[in-house]
Amino acid sequence: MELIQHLSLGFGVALSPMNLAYCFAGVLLGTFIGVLPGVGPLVTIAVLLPLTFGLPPEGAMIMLAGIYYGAAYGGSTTAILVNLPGESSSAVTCIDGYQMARQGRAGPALAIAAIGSVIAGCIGTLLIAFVGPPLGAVALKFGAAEYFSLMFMALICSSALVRGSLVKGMGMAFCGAIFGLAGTDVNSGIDRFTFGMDGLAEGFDFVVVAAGLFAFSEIVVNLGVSLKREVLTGRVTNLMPTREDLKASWKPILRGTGIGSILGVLPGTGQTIASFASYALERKLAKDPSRFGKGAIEGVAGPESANNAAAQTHFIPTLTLGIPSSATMALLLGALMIHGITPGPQVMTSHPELFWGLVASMWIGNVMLVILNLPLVGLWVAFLKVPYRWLYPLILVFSCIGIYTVNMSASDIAFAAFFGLLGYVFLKLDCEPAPFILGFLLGPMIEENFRRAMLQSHGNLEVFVSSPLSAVFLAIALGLVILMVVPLVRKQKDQAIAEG
Amino acid sequence: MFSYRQKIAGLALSLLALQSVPAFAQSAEDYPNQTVRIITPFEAGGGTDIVSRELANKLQGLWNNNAVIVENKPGANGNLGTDIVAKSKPDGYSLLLTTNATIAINPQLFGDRVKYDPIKDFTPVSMLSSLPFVFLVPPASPAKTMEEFLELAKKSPGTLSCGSSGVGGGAHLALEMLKSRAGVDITHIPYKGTGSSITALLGDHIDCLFVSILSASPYIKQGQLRALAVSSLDRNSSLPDVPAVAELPGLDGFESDLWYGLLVPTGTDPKIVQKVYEGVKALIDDPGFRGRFEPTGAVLVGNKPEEFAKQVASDIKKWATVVKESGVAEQL
Repeated sequence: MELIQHLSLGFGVALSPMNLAYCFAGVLLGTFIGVLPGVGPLVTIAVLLPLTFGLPPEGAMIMLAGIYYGAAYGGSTTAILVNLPGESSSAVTCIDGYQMARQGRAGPALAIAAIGSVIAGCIGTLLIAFVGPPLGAVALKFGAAEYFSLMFMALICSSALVRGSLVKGMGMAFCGAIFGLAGTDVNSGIDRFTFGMDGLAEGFDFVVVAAGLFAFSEIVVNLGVSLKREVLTGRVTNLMPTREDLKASWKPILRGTGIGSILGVLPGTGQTIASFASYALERKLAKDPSRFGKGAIEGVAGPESANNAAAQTHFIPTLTLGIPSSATMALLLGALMIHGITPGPQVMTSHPELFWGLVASMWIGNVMLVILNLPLVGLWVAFLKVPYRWLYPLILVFSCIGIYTVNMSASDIAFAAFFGLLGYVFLKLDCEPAPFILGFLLGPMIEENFRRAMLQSHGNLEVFVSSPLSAVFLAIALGLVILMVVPLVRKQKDQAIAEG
Repeated sequence: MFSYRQKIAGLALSLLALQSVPAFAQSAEDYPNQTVRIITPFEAGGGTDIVSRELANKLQGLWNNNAVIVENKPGANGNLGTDIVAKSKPDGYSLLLTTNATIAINPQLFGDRVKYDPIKDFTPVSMLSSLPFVFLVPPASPAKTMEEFLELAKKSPGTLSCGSSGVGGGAHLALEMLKSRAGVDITHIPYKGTGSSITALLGDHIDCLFVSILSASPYIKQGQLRALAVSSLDRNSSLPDVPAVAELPGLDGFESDLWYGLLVPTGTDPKIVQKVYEGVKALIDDPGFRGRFEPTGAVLVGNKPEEFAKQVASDIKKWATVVKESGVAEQL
């Protein structure tokens, strides 16, 4: 068995004392910084990347991967306890996780997030080892038309998720798309919406928008409401989920892992869509969908597993094709190149110790994460108890360092401040920032792929239905629109009845 | 320990010294006596960045551990970082490590939006290396040779599509040069970066692609993509069986390479230029550096400042013709 040979080589590398230490350091540092509200894996890796320059390539990649999933996990801790997502993919965890925490069930929420993450992480890692190369081939089948339809479906999905007004949700998604279009147009090379500013030639960076919209605006809002926001710290008493919790969670965990594993392989989609899709699925499957948004444990278990599974399977296109599937993966690839390794399909054969060592280390790291985090929840909580007058400047400074290090651009910090202001206005107007972020990410990709499909088909719109994959995605999107409209009609009917 | 008074006196003396010695002479004799920045107008982790870091290490070693650091200033196709060096003091402490894109191509593509003059604002020091583009097709392509591919393109104009790493990038311009020299009509499909254009070719979504040899080699060696030609004048030693486009009848002289070169702001003391050039030469002659870079297909050059200056001038002329004939600039 080739696989067993490969894995034993991998574990040989990953279990060496130095690499175990790098893995542990990465997971610990990642969680530590990831816990900070508004600081997600991308910012964390950007800040800590220089630390790994002096290490051997395997050690560096193992540590960076540890930072990556450590920060993702730390981000969910913050999402549950403070209702602040460290990145867009944990925005979903906020919805029910925070409600659970408010009901005094922060412990089980954190534990289920950890258990879901570790299960998804292990399965995702197994997938990388087992079906990495063939799955890379599936992603290759996606041409411009398929990508367009998939992302279109994803955007519809995200609008279906918004609580409150559907129009507001769509509006936010479109607004996000417009901001996403700023910069150089891929198909023509023309600058759009840059107002002649050099700093905008590459568009707004995701980190800038996310930090502004989530971290900065949250701080401003909190300053305005005289510290009413509760850090639900005192109530983390009982960590163990009950038997019912586990019973309610195991299926969502497995379903979430499935969704996340599949979506994670597709470059450019990934974690956020995976967690949103898993949430939507769980709500649709639930006997009583009204519990969602009020502390349903399935709403934490599913998305957290999907998120982590996607985080792991992101490594498939990254390592097998050398194509980054997210901004974070792009940073990891940059780190590989700094160590003199050209990413691509040859990495698996020319650097087997790196590839399999990394795979094995992710198993070890995921287990470490649980062992480390469940007892340390108290410490992270204490960290969150730091008074706001210290925490806020700290978050601001960390965020600014992170924002600056991504592109070494001072104008990015000014843009983040602008998005902080915008996010404040959105919050005041009761508009959810999550669809904005999705629109921001997906809008330009939808446009890029639509126009590319048109270029290739010489303007024939049939390509979107003549490709079976694309047709399926569009059908699902259409189905979702119908599903979205029906309850709306029903709700209005209900209201009319109630008034009558 | 020095007393406060001594420190003040020392400070005053050094200030006096600074004033009395003409800045020019001092900088040439003592160069370098402060941190030297190598500015690269592209992202960390890319080709220019890797070469910059090798050069920084070499120069620092040669110059008694005087700090030499790399600063990445990406943005606006590299024009941002290039402009920063154009506006820097010509004192030898700001070096530009860039590609022919920002020197020979962008000024003609973007017109007024490029705020520096590639000839007037820079003194070329040396070309470090040149990298050919490789013309790739998927294994399923009916074309086994470059001739066959061009025949296919001539038979059915406009139906074949060719990707690129982006509008106005080296891969796009190599395609434009091929289209105008061979008289074929191929639809250009731009992608966001080299990586996604290679994915599209692997997935058979486009018919062909020019890719820098650094990124192309692994796919060729694994048999995932077929190389039909290289864009350099001669064949590349790492792909000896792949002909040069220039070998084809009617395409003699075809050359569309990517090069990495070092330049300094105009007005830099020639002695400093010479000293920096000697550093570059030492790097190019370093067997360790050669061992790392030559297997990738990079051709190491290290030519003299005068030679590099001539090449810059002739490249600017060459790309002006391609840009004009293709009409790319009008779209931008």
